[in-house]
Amino acid sequence: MIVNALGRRAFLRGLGSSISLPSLCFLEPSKMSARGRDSIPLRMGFAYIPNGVIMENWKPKELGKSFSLPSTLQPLKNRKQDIQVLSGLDHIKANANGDGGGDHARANATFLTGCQARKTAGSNIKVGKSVDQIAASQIGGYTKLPSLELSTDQSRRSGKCDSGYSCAYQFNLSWKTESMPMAPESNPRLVFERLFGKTELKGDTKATAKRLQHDQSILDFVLDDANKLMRRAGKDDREKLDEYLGAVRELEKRIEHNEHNQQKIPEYQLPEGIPHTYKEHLKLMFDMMALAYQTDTTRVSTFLLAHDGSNRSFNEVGVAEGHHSLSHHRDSNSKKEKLARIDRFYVEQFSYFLEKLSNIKEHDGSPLLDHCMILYGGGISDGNRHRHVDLPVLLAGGKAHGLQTGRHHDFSSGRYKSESKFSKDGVGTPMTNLHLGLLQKMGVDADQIGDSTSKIVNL
Amino acid sequence: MTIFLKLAFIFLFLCFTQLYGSTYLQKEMNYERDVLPLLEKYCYQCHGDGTKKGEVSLDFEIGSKDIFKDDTLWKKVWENVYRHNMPPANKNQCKDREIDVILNWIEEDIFGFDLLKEDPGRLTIRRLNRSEYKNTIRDLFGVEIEAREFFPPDDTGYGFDTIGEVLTLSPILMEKYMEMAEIVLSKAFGPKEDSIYQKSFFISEMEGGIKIDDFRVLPTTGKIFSKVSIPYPGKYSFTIEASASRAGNELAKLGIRLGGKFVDFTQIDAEYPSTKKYTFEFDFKEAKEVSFGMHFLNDYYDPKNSKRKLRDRNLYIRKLDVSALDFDYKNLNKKRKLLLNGIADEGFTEKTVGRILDNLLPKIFRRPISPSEMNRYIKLFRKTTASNVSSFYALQVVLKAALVSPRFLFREEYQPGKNNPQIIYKLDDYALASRLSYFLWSSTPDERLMQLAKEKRLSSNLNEEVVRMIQNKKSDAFIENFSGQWLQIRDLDLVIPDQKRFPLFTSKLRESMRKETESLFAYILRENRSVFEFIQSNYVFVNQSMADFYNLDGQFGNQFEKVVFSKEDSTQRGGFLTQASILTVTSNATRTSPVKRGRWILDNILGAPPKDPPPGIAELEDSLEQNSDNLSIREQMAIHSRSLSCSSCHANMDAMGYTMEKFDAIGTLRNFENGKQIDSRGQLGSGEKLNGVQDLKTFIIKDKTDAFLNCLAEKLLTYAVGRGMEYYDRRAIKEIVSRTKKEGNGFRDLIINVIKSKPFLLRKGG
Repeated sequence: MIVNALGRRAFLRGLGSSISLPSLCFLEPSKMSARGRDSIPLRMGFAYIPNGVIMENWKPKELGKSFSLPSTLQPLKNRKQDIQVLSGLDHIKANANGDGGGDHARANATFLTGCQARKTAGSNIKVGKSVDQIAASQIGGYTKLPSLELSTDQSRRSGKCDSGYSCAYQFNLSWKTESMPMAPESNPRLVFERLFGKTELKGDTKATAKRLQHDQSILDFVLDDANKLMRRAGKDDREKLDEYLGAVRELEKRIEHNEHNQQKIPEYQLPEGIPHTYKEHLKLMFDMMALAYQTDTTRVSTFLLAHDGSNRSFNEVGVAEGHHSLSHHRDSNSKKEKLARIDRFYVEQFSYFLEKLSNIKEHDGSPLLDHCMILYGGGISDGNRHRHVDLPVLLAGGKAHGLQTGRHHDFSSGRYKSESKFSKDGVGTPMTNLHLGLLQKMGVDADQIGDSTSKIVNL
Repeated sequence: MTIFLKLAFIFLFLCFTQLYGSTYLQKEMNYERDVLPLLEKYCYQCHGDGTKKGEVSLDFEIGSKDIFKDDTLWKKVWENVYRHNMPPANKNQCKDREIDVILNWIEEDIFGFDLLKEDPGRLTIRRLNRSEYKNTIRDLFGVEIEAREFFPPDDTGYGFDTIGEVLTLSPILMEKYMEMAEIVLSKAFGPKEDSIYQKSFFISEMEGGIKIDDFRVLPTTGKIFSKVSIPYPGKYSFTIEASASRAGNELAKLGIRLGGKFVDFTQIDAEYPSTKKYTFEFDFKEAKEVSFGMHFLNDYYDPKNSKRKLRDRNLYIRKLDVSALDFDYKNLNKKRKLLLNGIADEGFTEKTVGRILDNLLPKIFRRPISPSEMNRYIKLFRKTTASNVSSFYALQVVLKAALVSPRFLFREEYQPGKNNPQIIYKLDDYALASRLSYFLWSSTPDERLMQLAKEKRLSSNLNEEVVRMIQNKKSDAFIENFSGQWLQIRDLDLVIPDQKRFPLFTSKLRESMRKETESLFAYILRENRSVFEFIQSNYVFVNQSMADFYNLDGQFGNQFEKVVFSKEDSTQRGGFLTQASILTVTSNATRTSPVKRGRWILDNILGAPPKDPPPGIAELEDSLEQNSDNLSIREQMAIHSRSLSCSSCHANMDAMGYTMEKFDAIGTLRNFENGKQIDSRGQLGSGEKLNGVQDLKTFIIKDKTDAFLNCLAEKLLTYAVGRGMEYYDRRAIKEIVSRTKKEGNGFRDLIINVIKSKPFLLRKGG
């Protein structure tokens, strides 16, 4: 249930003040959505699963509308008419291409960028701007948060990450620029507070408005600081200060947004923090994503269920071995069976999310799910051989916006069947073509992402 | 400069002036005379005379300039030779002197390394990471914050979270800095005049009773409680939304217990499921966390009552609201005065704020600030007061601006001249103070460091200062952060050993394992013991739970104590290699992994990280699983030595890992696995045989002295300066090592030498 509430916001959660500041053009209601002011906006989300899946339990045998769900996708049976299984999509930029080991780092880094991550343990990090950030930079101004980044990893690995790649590649999905990842948040309580404000130590409405005004002048003030530093900074330092300037400007925009818009606050109990079980953790994070969409606090979101290469064990489903160690199964049936259990576990949590979205109703009574496009999948298909082609991908929702749900489509036109099962060459369609297609649905202009060759319009 | 250094410098100068600025012709000569013979001897079997293993060929036509064209090729060669990856372990190895010849030549004649002005490397301006931020705030304001919970994790590079280039600043972080500044200031100075404190505790934030729907229920006498933090002294109200089912002839009694004492009670007249609110008020003299207990005092149960509804009396709690009614400003002012140089409470004027900022801003920015900067802050104060807020509020706005300024969040290293990569600057004293304090304390410089910097006496007092800093408790941060990342024991949190196989492993044991490693590290650091005691020592640090785990006799407490072994049993534990923490992080959930252990040694002890495995290589089977071949781990791993492409790296890695096989996946000593006697022998690529971990320790101490010192120096320098090591750092590292050896390998001496190295003391424009 949604209640409209005024005030009760801490810093940056501000709203409804009467301070006059120049209004930004994108806040004009007539431009609120490409489809007009009363239409319900389309949202976009990405949920990433690590280490590949057992493809034979994932990929439906039949194409088109009448396909049956293989065992891994069974948990989605109630939502079959809301999803499309998309086969034949490749991320060949996640292949080594001369860079040697590090498939997990690359799978993660390439997933939303379609770019070859520069192999470095620290200096000159570079991959590419990710699809969600392309969307955020164009439509982010409509909502309080341009985008929301989630994960369940609370720390980085010490020592080396994957084969000479900085951990930045492996623990971030979303990249605002080719060198700056959007740090994801893993604590559901903090996500909630970020979305809807803190509940303690706040002022009343007047105090909040006052604080916003002062925050504005603080940001102006420190922009000045940064510009001064910039003048005497070297090249690399300037890059860092640019990040700072960008972040400050974004906060300024947000303050203005908050001053002009009322936020809907959901009736949802404040989450406690990080739950003890992984399952609960995933569910809570999905709840946060759903709340963010429901309240139109953001329209773009990414969720790294676990970083690629994650070696988590799954006692929930009776698997004591680490996921990554298991994923190199060398065709051992008992290992594949355990992996399939993990794959299914993840799909179950995703199904929980879809159920949730379909139970939330928009103001015209249609399910929220019909106004969301959630891509679920990973940058590795066969974890044993680190293949980055014919990836496990499914797209859920979006019915109300013309998405052709309830089908299995193969973008390689079945060419993987004839190719060697173990081939790493891409004979399908670049995944980034799908990204471009999603952006088009979102009403975002983009001609190219990473290795894209054209735009998938058949969605 | 010591005499030795001067002599060394002159010697080097004489040796290499010829090379410096040498022409192609000279470079050719150097190549043919010094380098080619070594390449022929060690490399050409695979990478010359027409063979091109791994698409690498070092064949060049004599007299052609091709040799000098391919920087990337020579970069690869440099890396592989320096890291001892080439020649492969099972081939003839270059002698140290020969390695020097090859590396020197590549550095000077290919990369154009200039001996006369050794490159200290360029540092990217560094953002404080979350642990540095936390400590800095603690030292500036005496306020503890939960940075680890509040900020997203920092990205890491080269194994550490201090690397400038990967410490990015995304919008979410800026948002959090703004919010945290507010939290810090309110913790330090108390609430602003318009602050309200109000917090709701839902049943998920309570403990005790049973959760039913929206309620926590006490079906019998007992308690439900919440941990409530009281942010400031003052008067607070506690409002409980409660209900009770009625039975017997009295209402349910709710008793309130605060910090262990019953302080109040009431009767619950709301009948379940309707609720009512019951309010209590309490005064608190100081900020603290209290346990707020809600007790059900008069349970009643009469199963025979004819009316079902009247059989059972239960207490239901739905919610607890805590809000501050009035803050105790008198008490708060005491603390304020302390932080504000005695100025508080009587209202702030531009003059007094000027005095406060004069004191605080240089501390916050870790360097003096100019009058014009000061003016900007005063202006901000003036502007804010004009907006109809109190002067105290305005002061907080000004301080908040300082706490989110790039000058605070980033460690700017002021440089007197131009940004030209050709110019090398001596680090200014304030920047040096910061480098020191963030290296050894993960925090801001203290007053003494700032004073020495001001008097420009810091660089001449380095030894004394470093010793003082290491003795200070603040260096616990270095112990935790550096050892946690160097030895990878931070990852202990990520390890979940299989409970069925390893029931001994608990989260308490995990914590003890970590503490054991930190205790040894701290001891060797603070007592300036030899770094080789990291590898081999006749003592261990244990508390009761580690002593039990290691089967040591004696009574121990929770604190770690040093236990010296008698001569007979000095071989089992002692040194990192046989500590449970390290044996655990290098294992899989269900079994040991000789590969991971061997690799850990190559990466972290010998500084010879193996090349990455070829993409798409499958890992080995789980030893306990019956696969078709029914091979043991060791038998399966023999595949490595049969396959040539694997064996070049795996020869040493696997052999070292095997020697540690007598310790299981959580570090328990064992002699059998699955009924078979454990074989802890390993044979290195060179043919050397190691029987058990003791041989491995001896091998490292005797044969890998320089490699270990080099590795540790490199890790320290990476962590300290916040960038990856490059070819131009090799000589600086070598110098650190040779000085440390002369001084007897003390760990503190090693650190002092790292601090006195060029990459630490100098900075390049650019």
